[in-house]
Amino acid sequence: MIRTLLRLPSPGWESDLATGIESIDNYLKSLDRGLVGSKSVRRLTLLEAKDFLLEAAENVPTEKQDQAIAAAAEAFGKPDDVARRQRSELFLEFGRSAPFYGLGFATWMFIINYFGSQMTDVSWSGIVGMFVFNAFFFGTFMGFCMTFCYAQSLPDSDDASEQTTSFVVSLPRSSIVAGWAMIVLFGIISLTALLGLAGVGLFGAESFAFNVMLSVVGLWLVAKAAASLLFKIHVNEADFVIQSWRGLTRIPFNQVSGFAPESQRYMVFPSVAGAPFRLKWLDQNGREKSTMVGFNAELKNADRFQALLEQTLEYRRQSTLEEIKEAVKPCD
Amino acid sequence: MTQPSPDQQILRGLLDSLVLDVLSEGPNYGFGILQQLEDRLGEAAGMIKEATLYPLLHRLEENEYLRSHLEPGARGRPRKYYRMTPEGHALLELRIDEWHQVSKLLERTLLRPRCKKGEQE
Repeated sequence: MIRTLLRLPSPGWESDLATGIESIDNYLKSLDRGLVGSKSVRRLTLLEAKDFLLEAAENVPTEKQDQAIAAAAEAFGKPDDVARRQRSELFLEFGRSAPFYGLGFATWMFIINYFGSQMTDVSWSGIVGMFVFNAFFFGTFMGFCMTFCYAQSLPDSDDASEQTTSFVVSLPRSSIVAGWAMIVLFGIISLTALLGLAGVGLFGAESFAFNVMLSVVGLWLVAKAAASLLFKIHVNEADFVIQSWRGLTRIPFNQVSGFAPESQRYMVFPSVAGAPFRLKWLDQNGREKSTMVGFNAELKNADRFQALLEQTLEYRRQSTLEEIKEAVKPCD
Repeated sequence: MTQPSPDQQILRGLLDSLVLDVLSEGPNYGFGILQQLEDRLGEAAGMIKEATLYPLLHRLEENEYLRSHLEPGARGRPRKYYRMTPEGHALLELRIDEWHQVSKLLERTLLRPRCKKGEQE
């Protein structure tokens, strides 16, 4: 029952995942029955299994295919074991994300309501009760959505060639629509709050502090959504171009000098949507420059770009180590 | 339920290190990792049957020894690649050190040269 609920809104088997090879399709159907999450969340595990089994089948002559698929299925994992692993990963993720969203939202609501003089005559037990209520319901709702409904964006299939070295890190269409919706919604809210400061409109009767806080939060969210819509990275063979609210920045791969995760507090910056990373590079004069970039699972190819940067730096570190070893090698 | 034989248990214990060793040479995807393991283990490859890759890779990823990313595959289907993190490199070095110590200990004890019965010292 709970598993079916966690598979909404499309709990059934997606026939477009079928391969036409009976043993693989049976494995995938059996695996799908044990998975949780929306269609796009379950698809990530199913695609990994499908790729593994198809690769096994494609590596042998047709008459040995069944045997190869059976061996590959055994090596990949029994459907029940794989599904159990996926469920435990998602439940763990829910346990991490729900308090994050819940406490964040409840704190904002507390600040807006309390300091906005809406609750000054409410008892502390009432305030605590409301805080717990906001944290629990918003945390559960957002944790559920982010864990069981939204999945990492898949790379485009139209650039599906291992020879392709150029790609774009960008938002998918659905996120662009959501971004514009956020701009319109929070734009209206912050405009209403700004009018409220002048004593007119829907919030005209509200306190000064309430209107200030609501307009600040609204404008912050509008700025964050706008920055996300503008953010793109065009990756080429030798360099990449970051497109952001600051304009275009072209960085050759061989000039990159650092790429590392930064403190989560940088997520407060309107320009950082997602996990913050510090990217460092040397300009033409050899001066080190840096910028903050934010990556979230919605961004198509973001994980691929991160992998490319990490590999570039790792390759350079290894080369340097080899050079050092060569330099200190004793003479024969 | 049949118990794995001692050599299977040893190999299953080794599997984390073997997977990290494969990935220390560069990112690889599920089936590619399996093929590399089979190549390296040779005749012993059959012994890894009971150890399964998906739970193993995901456990290593959860513990931050590996990271993964999706790339468009050769036949139009997205492919998940795994790569090692600095923590993964450190773990592999630690495991190699431990196995060196075990190997030295075995050479001094169980694997020491032995006199056959009737042979003079």
